[in-house]
Amino acid sequence: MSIQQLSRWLLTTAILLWSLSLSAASDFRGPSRDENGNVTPPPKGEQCIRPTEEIRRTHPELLLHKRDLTMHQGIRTKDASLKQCINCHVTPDKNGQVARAGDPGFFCSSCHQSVSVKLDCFECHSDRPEEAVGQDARDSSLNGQLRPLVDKLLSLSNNPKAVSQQKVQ
Amino acid sequence: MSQHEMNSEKPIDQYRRRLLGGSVAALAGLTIAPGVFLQTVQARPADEPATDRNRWGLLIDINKCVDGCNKCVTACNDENGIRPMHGPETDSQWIRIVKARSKSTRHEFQMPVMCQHCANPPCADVCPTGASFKRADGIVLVDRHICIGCRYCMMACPYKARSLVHGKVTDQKPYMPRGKGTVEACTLCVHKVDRGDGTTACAEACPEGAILFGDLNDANSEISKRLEQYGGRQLRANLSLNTGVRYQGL
Amino acid sequence: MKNLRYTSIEGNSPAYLGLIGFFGLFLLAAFVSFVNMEHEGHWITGMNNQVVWGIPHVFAIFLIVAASGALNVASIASVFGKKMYKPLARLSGVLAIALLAGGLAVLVLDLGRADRLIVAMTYYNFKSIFAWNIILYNGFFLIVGLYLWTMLDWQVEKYSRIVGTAAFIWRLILTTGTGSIFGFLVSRQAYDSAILAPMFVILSFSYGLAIKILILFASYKWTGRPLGDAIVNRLKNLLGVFIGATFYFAAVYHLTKLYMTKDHGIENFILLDGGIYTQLFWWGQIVLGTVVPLLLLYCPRPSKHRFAIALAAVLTILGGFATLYVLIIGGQVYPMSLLPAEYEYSSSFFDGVVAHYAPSKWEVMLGLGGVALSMVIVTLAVKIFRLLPEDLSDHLVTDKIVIKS
Repeated sequence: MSIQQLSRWLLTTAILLWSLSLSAASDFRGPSRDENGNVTPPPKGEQCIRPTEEIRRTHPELLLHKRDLTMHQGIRTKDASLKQCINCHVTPDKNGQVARAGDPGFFCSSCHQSVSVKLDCFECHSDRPEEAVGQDARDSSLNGQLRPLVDKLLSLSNNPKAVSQQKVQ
Repeated sequence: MSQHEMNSEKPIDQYRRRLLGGSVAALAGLTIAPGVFLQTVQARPADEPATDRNRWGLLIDINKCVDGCNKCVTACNDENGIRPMHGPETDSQWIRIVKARSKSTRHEFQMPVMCQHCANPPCADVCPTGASFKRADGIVLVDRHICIGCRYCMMACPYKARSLVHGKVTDQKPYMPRGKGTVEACTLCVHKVDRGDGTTACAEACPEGAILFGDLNDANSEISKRLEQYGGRQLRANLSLNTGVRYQGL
Repeated sequence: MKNLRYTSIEGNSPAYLGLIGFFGLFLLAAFVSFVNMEHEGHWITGMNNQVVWGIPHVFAIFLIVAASGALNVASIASVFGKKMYKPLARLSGVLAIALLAGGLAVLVLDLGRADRLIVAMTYYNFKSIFAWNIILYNGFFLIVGLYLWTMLDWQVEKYSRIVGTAAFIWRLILTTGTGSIFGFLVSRQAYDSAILAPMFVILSFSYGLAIKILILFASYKWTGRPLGDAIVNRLKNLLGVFIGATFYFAAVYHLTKLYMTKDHGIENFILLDGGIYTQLFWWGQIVLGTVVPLLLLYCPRPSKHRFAIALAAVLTILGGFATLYVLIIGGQVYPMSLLPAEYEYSSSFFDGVVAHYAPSKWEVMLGLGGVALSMVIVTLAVKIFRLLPEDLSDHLVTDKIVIKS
């Protein structure tokens, strides 16, 4: 084969492979599935803080910006808070187990392992939701100490049937 | 009571139950509401940045610090998820009890030492990336996202307050991320301060009340009043760092 | 002087390849050490929360300081017009770059989060002398690169003087910055001193020249090129002057601290009862690093032999390591003055006691890897570029011929 023919052949092959890879990429529909065909356990909330397609693209930027606001200015709103992401998205599976950061069943890993982007967050950040950790920061404010009591009293007034059923059992 | 009997409960009974429950709740609410609202006034709203309106600090009364007690150290470790890892030389210590004895007067005492939250922190001066910084309300923190682990701040700190995380950390507290290779120190329980708890873990835990947390900028706060009355000395005061942690009885 | 011919070395002999392989082993060891430190964390090293900078930093600071000093010979030629040193200028420039690269490699690989080097390059706190040093080190590569260009390319040779002067000033600022890393710290008795900045400049003269002499001897001996006594004697005398100057600065540093009662603690520790640190100071820094080299360089009988000069250079280097070990590590192990001197105190965080530090093999491997990197760069550079004059015999380099032409 002459040089010209060879280079033409190479170019054609390269273009063919590239277009194939494009179509393969567009097959990426979302989180990977485990061996039973299940996705990671569904998140707690109704919907994420942004629409799915948008959050997939923008979550690095959102988190990056929010971390600076929280760290340097002490702004602790729930929007784009990593802790709240985890609270919502990292949920127990049917056995009540919560996946850890390295596992394939972990929410963030389900996409990050497919696209091969290493996660640095969980070197430092807790990978478990606050309720799974089982202990919140000792809340010494009056708020914190009375909150459970207030919750219970309010639930009493809202649902008397529930109370009477409890008494029976 | 059978299912059938429960369903045939008279509407009036349901109404009574609801009224009783509601009244109790209302009464309880009225009783505690002032406290709840008072606390929420102290807490900064989550979307409001920290400002220099406040300057958070500690006042430590050495005379109250009991010999042999280290409850503040244990409380800090519990609060922040600090566990023994690879030995005392490399484990992080955010607060420690220093036992001292004067060679000339033979006076002995002990005191807790932690990051002094200087107004002119040398650690913030030397950090090449700006990860070590002082927040507007006086709390000196490490932004572990941009800390490269060079340990220059540890060299610079005149109180040896900082620790490097020498090994892998797991099971961090969700409100206190910490990880291998970055530097850390006492955060003045910034997560509690921002929530409006009005105290730190060490201050809470001290059975003698030797540690007092408060707003140094507020002349009416307990800490300011005590400082005005009895004075408060800085450790290594000759360095002119204007620390946020002051000691009485030094 | 007559137009000297610069030629690259052939670099095909088994000895040459063996040399690169030898350095390669150290590079491999350093790589293994780095991977281990990165994976496990710093607990595997001897460094801890009391001694935060250890052997890697001794190596790194030595190499960085020597890098700036290695440029000296080139500067003397270009900036101060001493033409006899001109033949050595190219090698000086390359040696400066190589040593700096080695030192920085050790420094970066020792970081707790070495993967965040990009962060270090993009987030700057301009009050930090460390941040300034990052800019100065990168600028050094650039400026010395330009300087080498003016020396290698006859078309830009006329800029050699200006670029050389810029490089000279830049490296003075850089070494002052390196010394200020310690000089600006108020926390420890051993630091907190303005003299550390100029002291580091003088140390750089001494260590840089010592390394330059050894590389010169080795490269000319192993390639069979003639090296006349005229150049060797000039370098010998220069080294002697620099060693004397380092002694002067060390003397002023210690005498000043000895005068001030508040610093008697650290002086007592280093000069008298600091154990290994006292040994290193007197035997390492003073005897082997200063007295013996001066005797070797200036006494008439030994100074005639190249071996004695080479030995003096080696001892200067060892003395340099001892000096930096005492300063960097000795300065950290001595207890910080948390309370006034009348108190003795202790804590779970090793306050009030001399801290414990023992270098681990990982740190030594990393440090030696940095040295190996510098040596590999020089070894490859003399093959790729035309750095070494073919012949440095006396009749080619003496000043008489300069005046004539």
